[in-house]
Amino acid sequence: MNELRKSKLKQIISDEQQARAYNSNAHTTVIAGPGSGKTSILTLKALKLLENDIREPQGLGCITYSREAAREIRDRLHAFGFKSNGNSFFGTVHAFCIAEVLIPFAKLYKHFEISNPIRVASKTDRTKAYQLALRKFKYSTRDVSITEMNRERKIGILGISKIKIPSYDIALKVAKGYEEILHANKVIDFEDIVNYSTVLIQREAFVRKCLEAKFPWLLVDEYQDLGKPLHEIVLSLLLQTEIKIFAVGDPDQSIYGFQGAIPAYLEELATFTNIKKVILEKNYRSNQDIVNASEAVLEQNRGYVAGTRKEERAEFSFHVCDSEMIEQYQLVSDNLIPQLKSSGIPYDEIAILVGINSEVNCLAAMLSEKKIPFYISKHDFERTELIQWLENCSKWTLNNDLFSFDDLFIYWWDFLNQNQNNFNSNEISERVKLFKLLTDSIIYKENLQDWLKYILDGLSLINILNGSLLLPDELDNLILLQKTISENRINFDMKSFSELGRPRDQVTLATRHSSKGLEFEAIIMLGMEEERFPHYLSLHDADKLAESSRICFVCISRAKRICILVRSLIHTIPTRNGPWQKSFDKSRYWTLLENWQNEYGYSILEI
Amino acid sequence: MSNIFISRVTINNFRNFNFFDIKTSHKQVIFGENESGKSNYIYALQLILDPSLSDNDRYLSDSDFNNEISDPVKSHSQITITIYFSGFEDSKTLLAQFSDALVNVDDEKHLKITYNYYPEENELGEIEYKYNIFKGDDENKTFTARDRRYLSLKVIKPLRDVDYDLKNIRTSPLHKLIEQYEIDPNKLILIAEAMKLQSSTLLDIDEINDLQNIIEKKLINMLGEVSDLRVNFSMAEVNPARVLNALKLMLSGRTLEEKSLGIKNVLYITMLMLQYTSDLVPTIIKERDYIKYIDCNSSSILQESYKKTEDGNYILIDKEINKKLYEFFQKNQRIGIPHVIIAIEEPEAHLHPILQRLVFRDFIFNNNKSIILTTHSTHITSISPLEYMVHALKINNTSSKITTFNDLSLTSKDKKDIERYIDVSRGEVYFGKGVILVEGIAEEYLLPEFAKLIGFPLDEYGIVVCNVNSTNFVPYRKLLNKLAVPNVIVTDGDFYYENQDESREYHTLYVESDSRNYGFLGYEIASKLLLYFDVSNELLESGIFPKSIIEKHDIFLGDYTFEIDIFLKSLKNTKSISAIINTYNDISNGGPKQKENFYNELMNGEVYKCLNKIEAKGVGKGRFAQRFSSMCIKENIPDYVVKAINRIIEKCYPDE
Repeated sequence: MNELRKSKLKQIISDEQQARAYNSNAHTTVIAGPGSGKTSILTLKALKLLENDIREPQGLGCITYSREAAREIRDRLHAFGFKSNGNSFFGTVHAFCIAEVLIPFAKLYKHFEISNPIRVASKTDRTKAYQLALRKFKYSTRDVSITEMNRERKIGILGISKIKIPSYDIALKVAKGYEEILHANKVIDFEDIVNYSTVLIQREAFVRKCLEAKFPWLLVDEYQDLGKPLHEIVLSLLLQTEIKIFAVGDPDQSIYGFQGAIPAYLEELATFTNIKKVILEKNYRSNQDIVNASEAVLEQNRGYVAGTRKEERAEFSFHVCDSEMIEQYQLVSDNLIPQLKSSGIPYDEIAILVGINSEVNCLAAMLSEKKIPFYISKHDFERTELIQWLENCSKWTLNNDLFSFDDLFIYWWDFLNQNQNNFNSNEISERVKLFKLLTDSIIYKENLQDWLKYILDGLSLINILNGSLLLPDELDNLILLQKTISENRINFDMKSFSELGRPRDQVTLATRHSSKGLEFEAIIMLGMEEERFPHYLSLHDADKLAESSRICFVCISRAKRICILVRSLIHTIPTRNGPWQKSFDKSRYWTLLENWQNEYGYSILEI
Repeated sequence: MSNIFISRVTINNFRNFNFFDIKTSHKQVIFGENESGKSNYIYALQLILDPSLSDNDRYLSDSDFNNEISDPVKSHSQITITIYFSGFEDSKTLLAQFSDALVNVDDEKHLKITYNYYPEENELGEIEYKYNIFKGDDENKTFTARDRRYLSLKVIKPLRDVDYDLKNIRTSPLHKLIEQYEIDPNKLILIAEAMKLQSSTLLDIDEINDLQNIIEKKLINMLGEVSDLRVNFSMAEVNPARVLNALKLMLSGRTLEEKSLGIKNVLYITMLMLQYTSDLVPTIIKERDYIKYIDCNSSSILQESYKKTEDGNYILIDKEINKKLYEFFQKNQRIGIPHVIIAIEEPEAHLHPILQRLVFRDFIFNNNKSIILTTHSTHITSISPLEYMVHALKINNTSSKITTFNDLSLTSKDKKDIERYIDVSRGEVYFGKGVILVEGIAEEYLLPEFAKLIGFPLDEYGIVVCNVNSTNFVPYRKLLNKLAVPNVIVTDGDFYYENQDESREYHTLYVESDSRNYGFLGYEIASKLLLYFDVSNELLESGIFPKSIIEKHDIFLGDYTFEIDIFLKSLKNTKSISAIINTYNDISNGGPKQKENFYNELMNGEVYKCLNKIEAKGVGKGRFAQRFSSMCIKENIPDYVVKAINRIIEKCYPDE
């Protein structure tokens, strides 16, 4: 056991609740509050199971909500010294459903009429089908968005769960039309991938039997974000197979209601009789003030306890600008950041959280101007598994110790097998080819653009993606990546590409949603006006309002110590009759935090 | 619990096979003459499944194409071998490893693995041959050495050196079996220490000590006291890691070297089977595994079925393994255990026929593991159920075909009849060059003699007479046609008169003056039989085929019954008459009066009366035929029998 793993394990064993989750041999749900170390538990649990309970050719299924989280788990496993043998699955629900359910089983059950080979709809296919469906029922994009339509498709899946979510009838109608059009074209989209898999698992005992044979354990991360189809998959496996379920999540951090994910699913899972429920109450990220203040925003008493930063107090501050977002950006770049920096907080411990992506971009422009280095976790291109693999290739090329070539090759070999038609080559020669290509590519290490081109050409990647049935959007995405690099707005070199996932002495800019999973010494929350946060459309919808509170809870709990709130008195709103200078009151979260500060707080940050 | 087996094989263009597609069973008993392709069939399976083949071995060459293709490379021919498996659903190991190989055929799930040797154009525009082994229908899902860890074929060659294999640690199945127990190294250390101690005390005798000293002194004189040159004798291996290598298997108190090759073969194959078969329910469980089982299960079945030994292990209490225990281990089955299909070529080597029967009855019936045998032994083929039989059939000098009997569409009663016949006749139909199907024991005795009399000793021609003990020839002909063995049917005409009330009168001779309608039951049966074989276009209105057509399809009928036809034929010649009279006189218990009556009746043409006397108590048709076979002459042979014998010779030896 390597030192890193030893020390992490020691930490877990010393926390009674973590140890209970780690050692559980039964079905388990783990309610993991912010900073409770859930990823460590999940990773170490996976390792323990692989070493003690699972024998080849069996493996472990580990499903995460985001690709980022899957990558995080794989990286940690690697750091703990884990060598993959290809039997285990670590990835998103979609990847799981494609690789472990649809590809092996869809062809066995012709009556489900799933196209064989499986062909995934491209973005163009999807947009076109959506527009045709709208036209068919004479609706416009204002009546039903793609997101609303897809939400209906997710919550419409039937099964064991007793939780009812109100359906939006127009969206449901469009969804049905949309699916008909897609399926007539013999393609399936992401929602289909999960829905078909769910139905296959629910209805076909043999499919369950095979999954049970392959995966004695199924670990699920961020359960609250995964939505109804995965919940039904888990329930079906829980009740009808011997598969042991280990689900980790936090209902309080459920913020994807617009995609059909709600906190109730995890709560429902925990009610099944043979499931052990573990609550991790210790927060190893923030001090006790932050923990308490975040609960105040949630208006819930969870009783979470800071497991670190004993004696430390939080610092809150509240800033009011006259009008518009622009003044808030100015305040951030002229005052807040320089002062935080001068008080000894490095850039990469600071995050600025805003409402929407366009605000991220405006803020970025401002920071550029003021020469403040910043990092946006969101790029023009998507960090797909292929792009992440390319990042890892660059990492390995720069330093062979930083990544495992075996892992690089396992991905590449699977990728070739899944995406290349009439592929025939042998494993050894592909292995040698990749090794040589990466080793030789070091001569381009000074120029990321050249390096990438050399790799793409060497692997004939463009060619392969041109004919790929499973990754129809990947080629465009790759072109976006190349464009981003050539424009060089964010000073892209091999090193920064290889460390794309994390800021390097940069201030992080993120939307409130995308802040999930991150942590910083200080966070600055902009746009803290009522009707803007929470949004005015949420004010009369109890579910949406509750979700908005959870978003704020997530944001506050990103901070370890410092939390700064900013708002403006006036915002200009474009209307039919021209711009309207509307005055805004402070957000209810502002009020809650201010009240908390007045009652329990220690100091207001002197900024 | 079912065990994985090969359920279908198709081969295209490989060696002496042009094409075949067969359904196979849990056991395969492959038979056929030399050079008929038995080994090539096994090798085709090995190309996919045998881990002991190298990648280079799997790379075929031009000479591996079927000879019927004149220029295989030029015509870009391919060699394809596909194996389908069934019975894998209960193994978690197989389900976990082979989901890519799943295919759905006729609503049944199979694992499918294909070997393909195919041409590909390289960058220079030249054709190069490559091979690919893949799972399911997707050529990208390659079947690799990793897959063979869990599913493979072990072939035991016909020319095996059992002595060597048993003695050699590396090849001995005994040592493989011991290894599988993963005995605690600490226990081995204890054994080694004890042996070391024992050995040194036992060897503490003057003579041995003297020899030790002499050698030691010599060494020291030669080399000086530079290093440790102590000399010791030991009677056994004392290295704990190898201490069990010294284990020897004794049989009836003797070492194997002293036993016969036959027994050694039985032992060798038995141990190999054990090595590759692991029972679902273990007979011994190690403590740590036991604790794990108990930990995750609430049922008390383990406590009831196992008891702890002083050694710390848990052993199965000797009793019937009940269903609950099976279910327990089905649920908690050991993962990662290899599934090995065993192919034994000519297992009969060095075995006495009785042992062959006993051993293979056990292999075939008392073993839930899939086994493939090739054999020339009628003792093995005769006890194998029909669905296990796999026939390698030589079509000409370069081509063969493999067939099985799963598609014969036999009723279960027919199948039982055939199997019983095959068993009692020691499977002779499988090895006959040609077969004469007859309906009774008299024909069975007499036809070989008759054939000898007209110059065709059947034994020498490889033709067997097969008595089906009824007139239900259909299943036999189906089987023989499938085996591609030429056959003729010899049966009675069974003449009858039809009365006013449509009742039939048998056992009577045709008389010109009798105005009643008459017919032949034999022709009616033969016509029905022919309908099974799609010979309908020549059917007469009466629903009966004309004699010419029936004979064209190798069915030869007398007019009455076999004996009557012999009597009627014999009446034309005094010598042939005396052959019958003498036979009757020899075996009859009756007095001179009765024998005289027999003589008179025969001479008067009252042949049915004669037959009645033969069928009477104390004589019997069988006994008559047996004795008659040593008395009969050419002139006794009815014409239809002569025709039948000529026909079968013609069919088997068309060139002579």
